[in-house]
Amino acid sequence: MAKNITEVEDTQELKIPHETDSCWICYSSYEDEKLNNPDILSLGLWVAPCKCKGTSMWVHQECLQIWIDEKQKGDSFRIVRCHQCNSVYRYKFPSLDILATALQSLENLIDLVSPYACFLFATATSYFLLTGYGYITLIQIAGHDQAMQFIQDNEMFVWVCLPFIPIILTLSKYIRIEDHLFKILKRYVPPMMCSILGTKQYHQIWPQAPRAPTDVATRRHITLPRAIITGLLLPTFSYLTGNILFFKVENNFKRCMYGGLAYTGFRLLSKLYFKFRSYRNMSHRQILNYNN
Amino acid sequence: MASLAIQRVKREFKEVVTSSEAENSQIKLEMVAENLKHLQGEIKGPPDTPFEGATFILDILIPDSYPFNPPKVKFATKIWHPNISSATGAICLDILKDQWAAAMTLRTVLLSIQALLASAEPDDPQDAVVAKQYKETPEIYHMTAKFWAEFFAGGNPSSYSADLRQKVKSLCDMGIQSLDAVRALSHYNWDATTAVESIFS
Repeated sequence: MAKNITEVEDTQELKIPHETDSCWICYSSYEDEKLNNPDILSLGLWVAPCKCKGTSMWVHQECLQIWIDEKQKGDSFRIVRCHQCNSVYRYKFPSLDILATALQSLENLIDLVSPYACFLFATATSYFLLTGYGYITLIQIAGHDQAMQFIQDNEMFVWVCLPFIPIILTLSKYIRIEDHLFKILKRYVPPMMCSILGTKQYHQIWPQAPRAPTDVATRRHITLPRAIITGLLLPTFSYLTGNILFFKVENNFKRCMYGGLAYTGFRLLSKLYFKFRSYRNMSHRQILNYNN
Repeated sequence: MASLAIQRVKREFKEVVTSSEAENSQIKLEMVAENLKHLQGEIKGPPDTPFEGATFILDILIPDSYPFNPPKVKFATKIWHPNISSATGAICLDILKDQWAAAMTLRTVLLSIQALLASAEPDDPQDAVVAKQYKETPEIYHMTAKFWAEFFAGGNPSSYSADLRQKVKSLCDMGIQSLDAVRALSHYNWDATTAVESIFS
């Protein structure tokens, strides 16, 4: 690098502005300046920093410094190029003392490490958040004493599996059991009913007259917030349903599981009913004529 | 105002006045304030465009940080063009924003704006209404731009200008200012009924 700089200096020795040259930033001419100050030290004040020739060749050090400052906007490492010939402006800096060099390396190191540290911090935070939720859920469904016992017995297992409890609960909301069930019912119930009742009038049994809506028409889109909230509240609802319906069951875990099954079953039935009704409704949809 | 900016503008002034474009009276530059901070430019509408024969006045403000930052330029003359606001005269041109370079001058700025009149960029509009008209109904845009050039900037009259003037006049007879009338008619593709409705609603 040091060798490179001396090379640059050597070639610069040869370049001296012509009388008619002027600075492409402030437009003052070398000739005028020489008239005002015959001892002008041309090399320090004037520079030809890029490949450009002619009127864009020469510029004052001072003027170009301001232009580079303007382009860098405080980021002293940003590369600035000549607008016409696209060459990169190169600089020479006096060497820094040991303390300043060390400080500069420190600054660079902090810049380098910060994104990783930030990512690590975010990951750790999410892990503890998820584990915390899993922990509470475990206590909720197994009861305090049993949960504590379980955690003590399977310590490693618990720390690995607890964070997955909220994730699995949320993902489970994306399985639309009612949709699949409805599809099966739609396919097998009408022929079954027909054979039982001995009629061929599908329309009276299954409400797909006057048209059969497409599957998309009645499928509800599950949003992420909905999946998270309903997923995370599922253990709470199971616990409450269990306590109301199965208060006679002694075992906390069993009571919660029964509650969960009852709650999920109830929701499934109500969703199925709603789906049935909206399907029927959609099949009777009529499109209106345009009217001002 | 920084002395560098003053020196530079003085020299550029000379450049514009002695340039070949000024001799052909394509561009012109005049002082408004004695301190060279406020200038007035003038460009001729380029040939083979709706602006042919018209003269447009530009308002030029030189910032203290000139030439490191671009001059603030806008149209003082009303103009119908996708990259120029028909209301304020603000210009959407990259060299007047982030593509400015210290090597550019008032002469090159005036010539660039003249070139913009000849080649509009409807995909990077300043005036959305004009840009829409430019893209959807080019013949109406052409007619409107030519009418504006004639009405506000002394451009050559066209075969349909008498017809359009009649429409403007009929709106003026209802007590509408002529500028508002031209704006509303241009906005609604010269449909007088919609234009009047838009003004009175």
